[in-house]
Amino acid sequence: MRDIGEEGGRAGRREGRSVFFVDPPAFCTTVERLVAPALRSRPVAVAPPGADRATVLALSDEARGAGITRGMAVRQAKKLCPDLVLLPPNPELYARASRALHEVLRIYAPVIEPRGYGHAFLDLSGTERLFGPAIDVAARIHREVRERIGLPLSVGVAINKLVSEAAATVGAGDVGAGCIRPLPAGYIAPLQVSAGDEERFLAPHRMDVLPEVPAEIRKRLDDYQLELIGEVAAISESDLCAVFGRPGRELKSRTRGIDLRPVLPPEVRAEYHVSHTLATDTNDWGILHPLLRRFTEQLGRRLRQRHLAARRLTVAIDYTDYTSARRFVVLSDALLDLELWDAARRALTLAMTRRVAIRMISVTVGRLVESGLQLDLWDTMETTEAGDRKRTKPLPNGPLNPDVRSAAMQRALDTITTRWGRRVLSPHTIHGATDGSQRDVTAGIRSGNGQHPQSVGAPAR
Amino acid sequence: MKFTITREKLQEGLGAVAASIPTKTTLPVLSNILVEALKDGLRLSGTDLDIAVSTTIPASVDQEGAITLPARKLVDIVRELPSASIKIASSGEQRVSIDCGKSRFKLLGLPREEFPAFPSVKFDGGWKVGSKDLLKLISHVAFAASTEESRPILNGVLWELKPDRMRMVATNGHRLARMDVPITGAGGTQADLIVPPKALEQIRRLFASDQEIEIARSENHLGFRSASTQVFTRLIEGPYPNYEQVIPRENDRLATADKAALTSALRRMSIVASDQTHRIRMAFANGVCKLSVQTPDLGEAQEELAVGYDGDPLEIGFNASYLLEILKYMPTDEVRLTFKAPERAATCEPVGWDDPASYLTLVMPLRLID
Repeated sequence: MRDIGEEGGRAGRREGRSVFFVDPPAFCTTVERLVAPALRSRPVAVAPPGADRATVLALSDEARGAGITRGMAVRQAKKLCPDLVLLPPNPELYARASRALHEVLRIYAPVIEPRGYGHAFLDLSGTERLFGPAIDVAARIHREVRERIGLPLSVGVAINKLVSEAAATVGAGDVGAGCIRPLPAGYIAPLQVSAGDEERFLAPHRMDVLPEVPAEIRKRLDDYQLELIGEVAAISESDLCAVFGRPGRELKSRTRGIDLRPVLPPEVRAEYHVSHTLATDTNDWGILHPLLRRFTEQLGRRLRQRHLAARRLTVAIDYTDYTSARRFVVLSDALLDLELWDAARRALTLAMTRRVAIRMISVTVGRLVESGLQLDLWDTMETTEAGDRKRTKPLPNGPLNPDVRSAAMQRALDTITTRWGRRVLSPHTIHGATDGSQRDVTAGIRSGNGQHPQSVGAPAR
Repeated sequence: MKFTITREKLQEGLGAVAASIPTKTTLPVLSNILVEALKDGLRLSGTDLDIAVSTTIPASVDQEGAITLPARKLVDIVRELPSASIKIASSGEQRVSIDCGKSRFKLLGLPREEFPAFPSVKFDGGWKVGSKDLLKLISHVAFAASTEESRPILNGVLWELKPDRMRMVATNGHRLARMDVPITGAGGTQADLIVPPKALEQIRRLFASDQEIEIARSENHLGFRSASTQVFTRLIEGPYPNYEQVIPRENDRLATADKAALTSALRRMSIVASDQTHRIRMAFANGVCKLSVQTPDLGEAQEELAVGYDGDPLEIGFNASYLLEILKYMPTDEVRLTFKAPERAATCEPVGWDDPASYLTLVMPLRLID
């Protein structure tokens, strides 16, 4: 166990906050190796199958050692490492492993904010009398996860999310090309940054360690040859604002280890995201619309499972010339596939202002609220004597209440897919097309590239 | 065109018409007011193509004619002029001069031919209703109409005209307001009309409460006419939802409360309620209503209110803003709330209302997760 700045600092044990960041290094490939031990010690990468332009989504340390990085084209990765074992993404497996990991975390943490497969922020503030010092809890979590699931963990402990994530990154030595120290072969000791020592801890590290810094700011800092966090922290806020505008103030705060974001449970999680890199750049609506349909089904399922509704949907696109555009549409507590799909098409129409092919498309639903709280006059619920809620049929009032009818249809579809699986109801035609342009969605996706969407939630690591 | 008018009369006429002028439009002439100098006075008209308003004001007309003038500029100029008579004269098709005291303006307009024609609605054989009854219906019901686009039909107010009564109903799917007013000698035939609330708001604003209003419909327009003012609106087409089936008949738990006290308590609770759901909890038992709110990221609040309630204990959740809005339009100091179950519609009615009209509002609860 390591404790940076044991003596504490000027802030002392400020507000008694204790935030953990749990980072299972190379989570996807590690999980794949747990189910296929023959892959151990071999360079492994996860990438969508059957497409030369697919990019690497996750990779093992051996693959990284061969010079492969996340986001690299599969073709290039194979050139660098001919022995590379390519595995298709297995979201169900990763989700199962994440659930198993969170079961352990839930023993200790009252509030967990998942962040992509396996990764999570934990807020253990106020649990010291119950579980003991934070660093001991981190060690216990580390040991139990290793024993129960077989996953190595890097755990960072600090008073906020920013520094705990940086500490976990430093602990894992996982800083991409600018690797600070080699990843230890076995045990990765939890790393705690004492309250008040955030700035001193961050200062000697490269900017790569600092999370939540936009790519364009990183690039400009690189142009100015400002490589260390401490070098940026030494610049006055007014000078940073003169260069970066308003984000300069936030950059100053972050380099000093200041972060006021709370740890939020999934119920109040800010947004869900899904993205996809196309096999062949295109701006053909016949390919993009069915893709949006698939995305919105995934996002809609997530929202409904968590009883959430979205009030904003954003579509972001990367053009083939590496410029990007994004547009959002405001929703009225949307959680049905058709609502989301309609909004996604509108947002895509707004975003696609150029006659240039698209290489990547993503959909994000945000401003999430609890759904189904407000009861509708034409869709009543009854509580049975046993206390169970029984939904009565929507009252018959013709075509005037599409919300209720659509919701009833969505419930029926969800019931079928929950019982028989998602593939049993592969969408064949696009429902609700008002222009009469019904088309075969499955064919559209197959003609796209046959890839699976890259990820749901935060990107896989 | 040449006429003289007092500043007050012109300002009054412009005020009546200006509200129908759209703030943003792709058709430039819609930003203008049609000014027509007629034998019997000055007629001002404006439209956004959904609603058209026309009003006639007394003026001394020396020469008849018409022109359209930019509404906002004309309103601003007249507002700033001193209280004196204003002389307006046109020179050509697109220019007018405005003289008042020592002030002189020249304003460019557009030819009247570009102004869209008003809907042709024949008032012969229409209905005649007292504006007092109509305004009462509008002011108590129109607020409940939906403003969301997901169910367009709910963006309108259902107006049922029958020989012996008028009824208005509006709902957004979560709350509903219904009012009946008995009438006599309205004429016309029985009709169900779905009217945009914006048009009803214009009616409420433009017609005094002691007038008789003539009402007539064409195929998809509705016209309102008094001695000096006409309003036309496009009707919303389609069948209105069967609202009768959602009005609860079996609510057997009754509570009476002081409107002002309940409103104050709800206002206090809603400060701490979620900005998204406005959820508050109301627990009725033994003559007391315990209001409480708990918002995880913010805090909590409780308050007790004396009410007339002797039914079984009941806990029910509501969107506080829906309740506050309903209470705002309740015409009496005391209100009666009725319930059946926590997930069934609740009603709110005035108690002791000395009026021939009958008024009912209902609101669906918010589900209490715990």
